[in-house]
Amino acid sequence: MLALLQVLLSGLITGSLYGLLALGIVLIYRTTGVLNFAYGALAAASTCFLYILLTGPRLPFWLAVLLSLLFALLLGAVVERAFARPLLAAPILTKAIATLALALVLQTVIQALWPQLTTPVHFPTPFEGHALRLGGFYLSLTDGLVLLITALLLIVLQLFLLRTRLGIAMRATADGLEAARLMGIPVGLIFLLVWMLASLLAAIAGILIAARQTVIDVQFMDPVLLLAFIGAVLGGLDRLEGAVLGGLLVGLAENVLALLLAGHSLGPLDLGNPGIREALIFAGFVLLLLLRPRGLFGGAALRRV
Amino acid sequence: MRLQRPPAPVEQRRRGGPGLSLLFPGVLLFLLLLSACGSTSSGGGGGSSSSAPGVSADTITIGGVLDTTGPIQVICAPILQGDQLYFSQVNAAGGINGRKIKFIQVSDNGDSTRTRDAVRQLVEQDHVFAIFQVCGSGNANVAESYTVPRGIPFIDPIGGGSKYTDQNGKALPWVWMTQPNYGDEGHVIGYYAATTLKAHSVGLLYEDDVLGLQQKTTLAEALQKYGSKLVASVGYNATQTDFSAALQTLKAAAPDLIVLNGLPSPTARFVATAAAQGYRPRLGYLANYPMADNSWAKVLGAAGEGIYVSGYTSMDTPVAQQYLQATHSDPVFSAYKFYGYINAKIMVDALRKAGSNPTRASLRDALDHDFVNYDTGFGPTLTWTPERHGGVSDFMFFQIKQGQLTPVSSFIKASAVWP
Repeated sequence: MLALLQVLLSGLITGSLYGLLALGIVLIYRTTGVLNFAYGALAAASTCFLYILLTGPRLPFWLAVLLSLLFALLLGAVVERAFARPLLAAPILTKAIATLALALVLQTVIQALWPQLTTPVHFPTPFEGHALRLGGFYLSLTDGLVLLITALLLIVLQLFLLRTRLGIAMRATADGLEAARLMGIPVGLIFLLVWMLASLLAAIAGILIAARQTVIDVQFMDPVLLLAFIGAVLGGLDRLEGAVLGGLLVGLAENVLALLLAGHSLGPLDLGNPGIREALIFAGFVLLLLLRPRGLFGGAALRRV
Repeated sequence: MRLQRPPAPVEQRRRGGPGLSLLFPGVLLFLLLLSACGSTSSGGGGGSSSSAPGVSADTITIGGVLDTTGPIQVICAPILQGDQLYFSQVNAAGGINGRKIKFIQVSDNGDSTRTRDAVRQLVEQDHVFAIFQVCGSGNANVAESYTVPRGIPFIDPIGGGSKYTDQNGKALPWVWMTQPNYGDEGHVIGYYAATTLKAHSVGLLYEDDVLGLQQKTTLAEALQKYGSKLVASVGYNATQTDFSAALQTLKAAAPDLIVLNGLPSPTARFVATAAAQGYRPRLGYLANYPMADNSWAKVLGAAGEGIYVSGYTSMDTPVAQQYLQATHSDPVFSAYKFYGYINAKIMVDALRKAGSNPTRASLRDALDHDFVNYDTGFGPTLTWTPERHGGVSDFMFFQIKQGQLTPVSSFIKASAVWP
């Protein structure tokens, strides 16, 4: 029972990180129509930058984090101006494929700048080795921070989008570009801010994932991004809270299935096999989409009559 | 026999023969016959320097597939550096019978679905004489499916899950392993865990493919034989990032020791997950030989202290000392780079033994008959015969002490613990 609780907690933490990434994916998709497959590379770029600050000039951890987050904002702005803006009118598929190219470019640039990150390296944080023990229950300081930071971010982001003029302008742009433009909203500025905000969220997620794994390299976000995308699609791709819930579901399913299936077999089929587990997750994902094509929390399609 | 002689230059034959219209089909037929004969001789008999692909008057070209861009570059890239270091030393000393070694490396990004194209490129475009090293067990197995039917020598598939026998246990005719296989390693790890570390119960985290499945079986066999037991085993895939459930499954079985099988990055993530949840088995961990490098100890950080690692290379040999001298400016010792260096030495020795005008057949003869109790230069000896193409099967153990792999045992022969 304790093991199941521990795994549930772990699934919740992993899922909240997927949710955080899914949030950024949905934010960009809703506002600019870009399915951003370079989102993992954006996260990795800022996290690698933090690693360099920590191990090169050996800056204090929180100062290095602050500089990395500023770097993420700048990176988001550069990508929006140099990449996303020129593609604004392109078909959605073209934009999606272009982000794959962007991911490759970003990874190549990181490898060229910091070749030490082409192989796995230890990611140092001051939280490593610190934990809270409650009976047999264990919560590492890193995991506690992940929960706290993701919860805070979700609240702040929700308040920002619902209560501030800028947030309302972002939502208005996401709901209807032309209408927003006619209402006098500077949509160009909104696009820029959305990319910066999404890049910031990616950096925070990347740093938290790296702190949790304690190992990074240039491609460390690649396997995580796929699961975050599943979370985003499960959540409906058009609802921020749906993205978070979708991410949480994926994280929980991944962990709980791994625990429950371990050591079991179905005839010659070893259910504990990681391939079988992943196949089950993907099969469940497909089934859910067959039943609810717009995702679990997606809004109904509007049809003009 | 006449057909094996080099053809007269085309220009000469044009001048001295009949008209072009009559000559052309004849020359074509002659060249086709010659080409067919050449391909036969490369697989079945000796010949002049021009009869073997990749061998010219001044160069022997060999090729390898080593990931320098993808997920296993952490292992393959330093191996390549070691290869290049040894080959450059040999070339600086005059080469092999007056021929310099040209080593062409391509990267398959660690992706075995790209390995076949990489090998094909080396063979069909670069015309290499032999394949030396394909990095990754699954990748090497893909490469073998291309090289074996074509009679292309393939030396040093890298990865203890690489195949070197057919389904009947017969040696594949064109593949020679230098590395030990993970099956033998499983036996020795089981023996060491049960008898030296006194682990009564053992858990296993294994990569669920050729890296781990064979070792899972042999580890359980040896543990049982020496009075211990494999109490839990959990598979993972190479891209897995979340090890919480794997940890809880293993932890629930309360093993004295957890054996870590696979690759450096996922096993390091597992150790980090366990450390974050305050768990460490009573006797800690024992990792298999892909982790036998100081870079892995560094990735682990403080959580790696005290972990045992299996390995099969000793530094107490003249070749190792020669290597250390050549790399004294390297910031840290890399076991992977050393691996490349000593295997390049084996390749060079094989090319030397293949004669002054090597062919693929003479190289095969040399590999099958001139490597009996061969001194590898890294400790164990190696014996290849037409019936036996496996690598060394002696293992030693290290322990991470102050971030460095430190030897804690002498060599243990697999055949001694599992006859």
